[in-house]
Amino acid sequence: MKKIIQFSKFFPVAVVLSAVIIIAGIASVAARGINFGLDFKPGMIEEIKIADAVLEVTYNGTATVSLETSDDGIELVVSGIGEENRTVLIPYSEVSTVSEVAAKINSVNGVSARIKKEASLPKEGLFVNSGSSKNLGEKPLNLFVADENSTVSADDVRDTLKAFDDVDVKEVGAASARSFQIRMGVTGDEGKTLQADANKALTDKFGADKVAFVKSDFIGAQFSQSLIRDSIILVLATLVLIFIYSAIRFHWDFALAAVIAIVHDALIMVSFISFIRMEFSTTTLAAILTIIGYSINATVVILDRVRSDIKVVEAKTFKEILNSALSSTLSRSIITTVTTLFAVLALFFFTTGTIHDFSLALTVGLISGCYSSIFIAGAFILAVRKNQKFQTIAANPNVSQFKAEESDSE
Amino acid sequence: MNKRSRFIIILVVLAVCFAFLWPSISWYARTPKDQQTLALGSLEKIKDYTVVKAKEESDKLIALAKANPETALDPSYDYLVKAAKKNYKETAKAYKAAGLEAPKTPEVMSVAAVLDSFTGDSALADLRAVIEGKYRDEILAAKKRYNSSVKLGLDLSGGMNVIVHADLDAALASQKKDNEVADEAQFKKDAMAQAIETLTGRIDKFGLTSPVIRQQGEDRIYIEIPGAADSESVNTIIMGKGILNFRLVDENATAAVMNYYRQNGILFNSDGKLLDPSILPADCEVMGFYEKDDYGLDQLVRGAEYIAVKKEIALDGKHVKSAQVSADQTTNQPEVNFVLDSEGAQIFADFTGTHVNERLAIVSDNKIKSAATIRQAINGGQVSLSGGFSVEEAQNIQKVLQTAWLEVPLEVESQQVVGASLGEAAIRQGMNALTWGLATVLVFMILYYLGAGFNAVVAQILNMYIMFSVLSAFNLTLTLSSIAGMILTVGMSVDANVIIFERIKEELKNGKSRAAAVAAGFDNAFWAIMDSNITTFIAAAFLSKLGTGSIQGFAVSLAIGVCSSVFTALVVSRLMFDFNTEVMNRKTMSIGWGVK
Repeated sequence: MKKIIQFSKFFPVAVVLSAVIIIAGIASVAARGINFGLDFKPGMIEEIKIADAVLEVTYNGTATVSLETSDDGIELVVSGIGEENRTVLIPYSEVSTVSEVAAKINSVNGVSARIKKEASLPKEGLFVNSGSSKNLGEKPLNLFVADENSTVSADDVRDTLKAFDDVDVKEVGAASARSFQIRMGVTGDEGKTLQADANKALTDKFGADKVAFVKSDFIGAQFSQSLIRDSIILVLATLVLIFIYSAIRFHWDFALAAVIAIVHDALIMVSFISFIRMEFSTTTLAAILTIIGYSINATVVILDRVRSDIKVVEAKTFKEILNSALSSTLSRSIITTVTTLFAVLALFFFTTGTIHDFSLALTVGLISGCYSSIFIAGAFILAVRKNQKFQTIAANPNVSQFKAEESDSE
Repeated sequence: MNKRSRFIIILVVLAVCFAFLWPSISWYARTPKDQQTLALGSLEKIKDYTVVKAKEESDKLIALAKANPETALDPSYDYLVKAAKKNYKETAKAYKAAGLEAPKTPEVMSVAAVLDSFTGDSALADLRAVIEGKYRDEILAAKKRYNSSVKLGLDLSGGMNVIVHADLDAALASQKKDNEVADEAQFKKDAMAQAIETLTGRIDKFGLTSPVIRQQGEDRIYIEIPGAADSESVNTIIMGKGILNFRLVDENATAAVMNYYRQNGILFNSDGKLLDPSILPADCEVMGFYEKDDYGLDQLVRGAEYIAVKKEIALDGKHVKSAQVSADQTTNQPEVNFVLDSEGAQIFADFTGTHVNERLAIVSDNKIKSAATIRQAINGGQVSLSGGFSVEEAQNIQKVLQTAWLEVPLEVESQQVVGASLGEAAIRQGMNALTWGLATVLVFMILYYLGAGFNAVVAQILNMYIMFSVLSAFNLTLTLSSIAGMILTVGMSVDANVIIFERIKEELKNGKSRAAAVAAGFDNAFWAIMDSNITTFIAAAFLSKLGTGSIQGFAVSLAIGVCSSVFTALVVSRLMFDFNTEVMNRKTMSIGWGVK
């Protein structure tokens, strides 16, 4: 016979432990608030890089010429009327200075590259402003190199923007990269010009040829309001649907146990997010919703086992059946959590930014989901069915289980 | 179901998946970048390109035939040789029908022979049509491939997206000041449709690569411009007010412009400036003359593509107060009637009085939407435009005029700009995570479950394959968050295998034979797998309803993953077990350490 672990002994401890964490979490949320991301708190996030504009590229002709930079080199794609279709690659392995790049770019008919500043190419090569068109034309496209000699710090950037309210500047990556993330809150109508004003302040201070804009996000007040409303409706509706489905498939107390386990996991995650001051964005919300899906998965597998064990296991009390079901699903619970953790940890180690946070939140949620499906859901069902007796069922295994449950629980 | 039919089902699923996946593979791996750029351009651009290309090619061939008539054609001209052979056959038929002896079809298709096959007055035009058709088909085929392939989201490809809020209440309020509004809901719907159409028209004109413009919810417009775009100009386009005015057509200049266009096939350089400004008087400018095609998209009017109009504005659109489509009482022809305010009526009366029998163009956002002849001086501000157009065209003109007084205020609600190189880094991160995540999960499964683990590995790999092909089939967008969804699905779908394997192990421990244990394991695990996956699916389906991109991408791939993992775990993995039991006659089971 298989060894049966007496899980039910640990239920009281587990309930107290969870309650303590969740209460601490709620206290933390109440005291410090949640560090809302851009999706929920309107404003602008921009990533800039202090760099040198070294080349200015223009095109005059009838074809479409686009210029793209990547880590390996520069790519010019020529297509359309008046030119032979072709792709010109300038790999960084073949060029070492700006003038060599310019010479190669100039070899394409109609394209001219003007050298603004001669420099040798760094390992990362050249890059462009994210907000500029890759299609070349009269309006010059600036190519930048990272400025290694710059002494600009996050404080300098903050100083430049001190005229704006609610500004937050932090360094991205190493200090020598001179990359900064700027975050600005917005209230009311000033949002329309906020970005343009901020960018102007930056270029006025550091020079138009010195600032490259890598990335920008802007979310207006109205949009984030409707997002908050939608998110709350979404979470509640998901819970209701899950409850209805499991109530149909199992029984109301099983369904409620599953929903309690889910809510528990969501609260644990929110507590964790609040403890480590992680930014709460739509991606974080996605993580919570994922865990809802994952945790219900784990709980349902266990409940399914309890249900089938009621039919086959000879036991006197519900507690025995529950312990037996939990024991036989234990290895499944652990292995599934471990394999999913492998996948999530791969995300954690290989990505940056929001997905990185996302995987961290998931890691916590996965562990909590595995734990709650055993201890929290188990504790709840046991509390409801403490007095259920099983002699009749053991004697007559053909009695269908729904009838038995109803007659016993009512 | 027996093994054979299950095997066939699996093969069919894999084949269907491959068919869905094929356009993506051929677009990303087999279409060169310059072809991609062409295919992503507007139909107008494609047409210009093929016309010019056909002209170049035909000139080249004719020159070659003159210099060296016996040259054999390069294999890339096979399509032309084929057309020539067909021409010869048809000529022969025509001769036969007339009772004459047909001229001999040349045995070797040299340049001269190919060109000679095109006969009659339209020989050159026919030759060009064949070449044009070949280029057009090529580009349109590539466009079709793009349309049915997986798209890369902005976070992977770089680019910008904008969500614009249309203030329909403000539009309604301003409308109510001047006019009665009978059906407010209908008015809002129309106003929204008009706002989207105006934006689409303006953005199209900008010549961006495959922009996406669609309505989101009741009063939002989502605009996505992949690649990289000039964010400043895009904002100007979105926020700019519509420009509507009436301008006089300069017939001489128009003739000169059209002449130049017919000869060269192109008027503007890549910046939209005239290639040869000397063809135009200083007080004129050239604009495209547009009509709606069958799909409701703007296209240049064939044969009268461009019109030169005076720079001076005859009448500003703000004077138009209302416009209706009606039918002429005697001829029953559709006509557009519009009413001008008193100031406009005066200007219009003076202007039309001095320009009788000249054409007046309606210009909207630098596109000419109509150019009609002034028959007489129009006094009183009641203008009727009729003749030569269908009811649909009349309605289109009415819609254009409507923009004069129906202005929907637009506001940028969210804007995201991602640099292309940043996108590349994101792709690399995502692929790394995907590879390592999958690899560690698979290695773990084999180490823990030994032989059975191999089944799980096959099921997992098929799972990824099915997921990608479904993404491709529904033209879904691949973002970093949908890659995250896939990775998570890998982890979670292993769960189905784990439940089954653990059950089989139990049955084996109870002393069942291999076949019985497999059957019992699958049967007992069935509802656990179904229930848990259906509930996860409910969560994922709900998530995919929330508007924003990153969650949606994640949820959609999770939902697809849930379905495909149920299939691979219950059908594919089961078949592998059964195959080993019944065909390979395995008696024992390799499903973990210490289990026989």
